[in-house]
Amino acid sequence: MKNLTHIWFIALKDLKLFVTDKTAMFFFVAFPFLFILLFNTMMSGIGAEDERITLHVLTRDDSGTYSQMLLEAYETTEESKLDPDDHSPIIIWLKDIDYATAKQQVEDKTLSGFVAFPKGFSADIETFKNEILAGEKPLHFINLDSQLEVIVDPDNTDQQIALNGVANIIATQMNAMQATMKSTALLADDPTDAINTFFQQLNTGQWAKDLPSVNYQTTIVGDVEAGNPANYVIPGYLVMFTFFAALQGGAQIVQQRQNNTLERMLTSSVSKEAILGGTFLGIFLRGLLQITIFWTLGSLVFNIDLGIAPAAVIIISVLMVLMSSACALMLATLIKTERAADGIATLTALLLAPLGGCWWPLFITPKWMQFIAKITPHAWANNGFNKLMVFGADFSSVVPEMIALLCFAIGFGTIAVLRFRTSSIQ
Amino acid sequence: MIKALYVALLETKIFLTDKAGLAFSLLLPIAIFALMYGAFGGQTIFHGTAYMVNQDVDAQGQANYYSDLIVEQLDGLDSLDVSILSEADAQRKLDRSDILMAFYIPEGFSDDIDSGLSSQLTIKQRGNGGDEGQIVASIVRGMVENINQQLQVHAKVAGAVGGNYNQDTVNEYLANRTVSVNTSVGESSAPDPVKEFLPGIVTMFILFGISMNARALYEERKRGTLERLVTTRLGVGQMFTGKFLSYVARGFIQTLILLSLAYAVFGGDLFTTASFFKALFICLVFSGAAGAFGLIIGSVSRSEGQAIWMAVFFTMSMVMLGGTFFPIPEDTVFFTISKFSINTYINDALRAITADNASLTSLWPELLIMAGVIVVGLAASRYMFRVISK
Repeated sequence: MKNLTHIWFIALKDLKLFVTDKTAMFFFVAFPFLFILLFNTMMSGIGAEDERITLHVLTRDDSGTYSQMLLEAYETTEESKLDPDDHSPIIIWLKDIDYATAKQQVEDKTLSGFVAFPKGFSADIETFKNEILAGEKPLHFINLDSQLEVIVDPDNTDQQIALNGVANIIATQMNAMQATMKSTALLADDPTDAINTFFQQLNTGQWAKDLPSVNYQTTIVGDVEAGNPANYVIPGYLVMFTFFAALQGGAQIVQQRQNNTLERMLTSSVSKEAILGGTFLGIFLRGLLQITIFWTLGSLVFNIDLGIAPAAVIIISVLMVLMSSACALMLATLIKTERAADGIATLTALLLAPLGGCWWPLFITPKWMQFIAKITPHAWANNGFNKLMVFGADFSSVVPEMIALLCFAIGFGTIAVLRFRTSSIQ
Repeated sequence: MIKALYVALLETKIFLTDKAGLAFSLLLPIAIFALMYGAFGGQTIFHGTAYMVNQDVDAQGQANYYSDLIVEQLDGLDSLDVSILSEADAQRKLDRSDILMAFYIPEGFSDDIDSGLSSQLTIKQRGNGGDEGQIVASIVRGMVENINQQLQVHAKVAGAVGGNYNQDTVNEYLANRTVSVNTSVGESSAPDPVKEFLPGIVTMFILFGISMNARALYEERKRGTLERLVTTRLGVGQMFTGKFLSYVARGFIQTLILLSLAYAVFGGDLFTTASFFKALFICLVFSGAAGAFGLIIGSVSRSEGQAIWMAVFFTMSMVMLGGTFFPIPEDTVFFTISKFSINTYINDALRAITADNASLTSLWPELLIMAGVIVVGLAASRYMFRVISK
């Protein structure tokens, strides 16, 4: 009981010292919010882009029968007349410019990219048709050296994927036609009529008529709304500054050990355990104060959305504070001098913050970085917050993150308890 | 002046023998640069998530053949993750705008395909599904089209050849895909990540290192070290000058090591010999500005906490407003505010040197502003500089 009282008084004294330093308090509160304001402004509006993707196609085919027929089938002639359920990309046929000009426009960044049908495309198909009808064994639907081509601006990755998607669908259809005709030529007793019918269907756009297919039905459930960047900016900075402030608290323990404050406390009736507990509680309470300010201002000023499981957000925040406090104590037990403590506290806090996704959301970084980030408690906390506040996860989805933070806290805490000493003399 | 130089030399010696300080000054910028380069330096590639509701399952809840095939093939793509949701979860996430698009594979999807019947995928989306949603949709459509075409080829050949139909022959021809797509991407005009991030990170840590010295200055004043020193023949002005010179020396040494390392690693892509020395000179001027800044914080701090938080606050504010990590959008109020950050000028100058080998004369506005900060900063800090803790 006496120990508990001591723990409480030490914690309260630390908190009082901190709160009464008004300038430090001001920066403690104002500093994170300057960042939040800056990033919130810079990232606002991101995610609201919802224009239909526009893709361009052209043909280098001289005679042009088949390529033109296919392009007519793909081309979006009038957007307003489109099936309202069809939300596929708008496809524009570049009829007024040739291949070289279009390519130059891509290099000049006035055109994002295009799919080009190759030279001799129709002639190749015609040759294939003649060979197959003559009973010869045709080699290829179109010449292997003249394939479909995608020319794209390397800095426009969305276009790159979308153009390749369209080109691959065309290639898939070409391959399917080739396989149909070759199989029929091989298997049918007299394939002439069937092959002629196939080409007639191809010419009239009836190739897939009456065949089973996988169709799409699109249902619009609302409009696209820009996400609130505060939903991932605030948690990131909460994690960073909670940890940073806690580690600064750890550096103060080293200072108190060096100037013998901790030793002097032992000479009174305060036990070593009470000093450890009180110091830990002081840092923990300061962290709680910090997250309370963060979430209160976040809700009132930035209108953040805590998701469908606000309790999980709170639990992760508290676990983050618990872990940070334990880490601060561990740091204090591992470092001998005050000067080293300051440097290492700042170094650790500033290194783990970007690695753990505090400066930018981890979900925009490469997979390997997301994997490496998991060595930091920051990444677990940020992942939990992102799941809850950005992707709408429920409580059960973030239990692994909670367990991970708890494990970090226990691990740091155990090292701190085992190594804690009050004297700077070993 | 000699005495001031002695003070500066002593401080520099302490800096060079302080392992933690050196680690902070040298290892941290390298680590942060590596992280920035890792996160944003590679070629930008699309990565999206396909949210799927699979209702085509057997009695045990296992996905049936075709729905499983679609999910498996999509999941195998580097550019895509597949997230399987329950119908209720998908609806809730769509309602809350947590996701913009979900693909529903209906019950009996595989059975319909097996029976040669048409089947239907449902796409529920908000608006057009956003940029990412539309691209994901195009990937899903491409994947489904593959299955579609295989089914249609079999149906078409079976209809044409009647009793001679042989599934293996058709599959063999289907596997022989000779029509393909060649993709040509030109040269990227995206800024070189090394030239983009390196100047900001180096200058960030020069400023950080120097401003964090404010805490040491406060400590020396609190412990009476400064007061004891003025009882010797060392004047306050000499001490002040010595401190300032030591900050400049510290910043310059830090720059010299970091830029030399960068030169050694990235070589001619980053610097020519001339541009390397120009960069060093610019950083020397910046170290002066940062030193004056550190002296102001050290002079006005009334407690250790104040010194640390002020140093961190001002450094990080300057760094962020200086466009260290992300360019500040021109049409925002922050762009105007960024003109008050010295990092804006040093970063612009260093980027101009590394990217275009800009001459020092062309960088006179930046040099002039940094020189102005040194003069004003030194005057202000000298006015506030005290040796006695009140």
